[in-house]
Amino acid sequence: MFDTLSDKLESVFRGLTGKGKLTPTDIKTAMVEVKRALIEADVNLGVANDFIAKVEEEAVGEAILSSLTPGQQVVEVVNNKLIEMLGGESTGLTLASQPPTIIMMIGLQGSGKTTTVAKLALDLRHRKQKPLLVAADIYRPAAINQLEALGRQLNIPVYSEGNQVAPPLICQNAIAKAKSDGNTVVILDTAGRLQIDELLMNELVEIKNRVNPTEILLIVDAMTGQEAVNVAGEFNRRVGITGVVMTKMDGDARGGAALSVRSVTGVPIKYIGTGEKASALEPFYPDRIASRILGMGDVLTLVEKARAMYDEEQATKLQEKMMKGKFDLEDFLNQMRNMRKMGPLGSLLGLLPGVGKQIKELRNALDTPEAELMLKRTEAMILSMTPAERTSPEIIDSSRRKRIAKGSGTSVADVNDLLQQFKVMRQMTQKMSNGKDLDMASLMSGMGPGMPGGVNSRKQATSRPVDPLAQFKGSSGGGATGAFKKGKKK
Amino acid sequence: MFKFFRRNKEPEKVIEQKTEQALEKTRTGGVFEQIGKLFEVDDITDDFWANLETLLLQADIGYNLTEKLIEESQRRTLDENTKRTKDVERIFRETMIAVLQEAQGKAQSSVDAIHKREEQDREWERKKREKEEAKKNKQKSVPVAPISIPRNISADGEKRPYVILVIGVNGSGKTTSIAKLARYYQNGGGSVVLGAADTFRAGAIDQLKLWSDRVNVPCVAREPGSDPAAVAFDTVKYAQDHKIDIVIIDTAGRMQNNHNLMEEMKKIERTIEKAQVGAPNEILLVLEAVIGQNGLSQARIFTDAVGVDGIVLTKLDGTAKGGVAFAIANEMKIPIKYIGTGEKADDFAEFESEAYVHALFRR
Repeated sequence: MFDTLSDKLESVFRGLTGKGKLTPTDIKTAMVEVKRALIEADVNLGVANDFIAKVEEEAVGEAILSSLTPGQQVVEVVNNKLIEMLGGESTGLTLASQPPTIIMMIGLQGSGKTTTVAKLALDLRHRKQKPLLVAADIYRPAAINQLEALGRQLNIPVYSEGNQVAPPLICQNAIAKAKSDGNTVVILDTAGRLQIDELLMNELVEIKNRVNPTEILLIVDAMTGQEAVNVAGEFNRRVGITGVVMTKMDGDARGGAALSVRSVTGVPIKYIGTGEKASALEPFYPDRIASRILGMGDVLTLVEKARAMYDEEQATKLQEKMMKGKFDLEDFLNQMRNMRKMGPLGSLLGLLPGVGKQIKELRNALDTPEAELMLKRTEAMILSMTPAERTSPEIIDSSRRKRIAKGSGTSVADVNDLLQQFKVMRQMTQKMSNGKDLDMASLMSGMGPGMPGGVNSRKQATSRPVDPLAQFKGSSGGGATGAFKKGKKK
Repeated sequence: MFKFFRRNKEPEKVIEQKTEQALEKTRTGGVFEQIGKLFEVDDITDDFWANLETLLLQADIGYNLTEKLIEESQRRTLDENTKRTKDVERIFRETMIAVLQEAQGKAQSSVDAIHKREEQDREWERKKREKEEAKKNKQKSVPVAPISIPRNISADGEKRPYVILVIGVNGSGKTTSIAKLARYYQNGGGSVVLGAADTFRAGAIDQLKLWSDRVNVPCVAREPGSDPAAVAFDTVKYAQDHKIDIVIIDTAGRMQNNHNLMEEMKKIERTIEKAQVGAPNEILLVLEAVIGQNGLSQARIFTDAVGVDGIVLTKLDGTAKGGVAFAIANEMKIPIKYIGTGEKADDFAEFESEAYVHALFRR
């Protein structure tokens, strides 16, 4: 997400921060580059011009130019303006005080409405709501089948009346049904339409008038070009939208649409879709997205992802074990599995600060089947150990090593490497447990500056005593990186 | 479901006329129309060029091509020593057409282009008159080239199916385009079979089957979640057994930065090659008209993975006109082959650079 834009901005800012003194001309030149980067990222031209003007006005101020670190200050200004452009505060979904909450999903064809309906329903169910999905797209062939298939997969009820009943009526009936069935949220999946299609836009207005939705969410494909603002503007003018969901943010979209839509319509972005899985929907936080764009990482989202996949009770137990220095291979295995649940490793690395261009190679490598294979191999080795071996790895002698290697289809050298890594990791956790707080957040944020070093260590022997990545492993089961190291050596 | 193709009811249907009809549906205002209006000024000033640049950027043409188009147009305007807006408009259109045609392998060196300038000018005028006349008596069809059905003849003279693989990101309009392409070849008198190799997205197989019923062509499918490469293989075999002319294979939408899905696509391609040497004969990338600069990244990465022979530009009935396809033609030399202009099977036409550019700026 935003990689291209981040890379470009990073190189512009590197030029600025390298200078001890900045002149207004320096800033002007840099801003020309920034503007170009924004346009190439599909930021609306008007929005880009506006943005540049604001940044320039503030950045050429006396206070900044005469500061000791003018470059840093300019980046700070850009960051603030970006957050402003993205809407400042994060805005969540509004739930009706009197259920059911009615959410109407609208957008162009192919923007991802039906998929988002399913994701949103899943998210709401996690929040103890009882969603009902409504198939109001009677035009696209098999749209109803698609929603029904998703409903079956997630075990969420779908209301449909086939494709012969007018959508406003279907929606109205669905709400009556939801009330009698005790559903607390009704999500209307409407047909994709062009914002200039009079007939279909009138249909939306009619649905709106009949069911009086709590939220009208516009689904926008993050890859949309300059036209995004016209589309959003027109939908807003005709139907009135309460929020935007940006989809397909997992692509290498430049995200310009996300940057523009909010500033042109004034309507907040509420969610972003980040993948094909039903769980790939994240709340939208302007400050975090700004950080990601500027290559400053997004540790908060990483921590939240970890938390979401993490059983609270399990976490407390683990913490206790770590404090007592009793962290064992069984925990290591659990950690590794949790980590994998969080998503592709490469994309997780992208959330870390300072993980920019230089280790993009590593990020890509981590998302390959080979890296996946390494993870599986580590898993296989641990699974080939007896419970006793997992809790006290010290007892694993050469005969046991042979057996484990055989059982997991690996070599004794592989087993040795794993045990060596685990030893280092255990030392680390013991060291850390002497410190005060031991929660995910502090573990993870602590490793930020060490990241580039971690890359080097990838190429070196495993015996390096305090490998910065080891912290990473310690906190969330990095059989990943360890195993990866192995893969490269072979 | 296995009814084979009906005889074409309107055999006199011809490309040019269809392009015109299709383009008629693209008349929806938008930024290109504003560019057209720009040429209504009396004098060509610096402001004019600045405005042109702004509008081109807003049309998703991208910085590189925008600069190239403006520099080239300015240079030729100077060469011709003209200040008439009419000349500048012609030069600008020619420059744009040249970009598209170069990608189509009909490149003309700029010197040639200048020599041919007057001829093209007259040609344009003539076409404009013809179009106006054609509009007046719409009933009469103007027969030009008929739809040509690609024939795939093996070395030993045996007829084999011509295999088209359709790829793209999620939501670009692959399945609908496939139905349209099937109808298009059917209209030209070819027999077609569809392969439902998007086994991932919920409802995708049903969607293609419904379309295959509508346009009356067979569709080869397996269960949802089955191996897409196997479906592609089956489809090619089916076409070989039934002596079908054209195979069109649908694939799941995939982001170009998704390593595993790109590998899956390569596997589909390899498997098709196993079913028939030399296949797929054509790989089409489907791009929607509202796409921004990401379209370039798609063209690059999909080309690196499996090679892209042409682009299907969809959803042109909206206000966006797929400016990035110009940038792709310019940087990657990948031609636009077809355009989609609506939700019906007939909202489709072969792409024709000149007609397209002239239609874009129509006002």
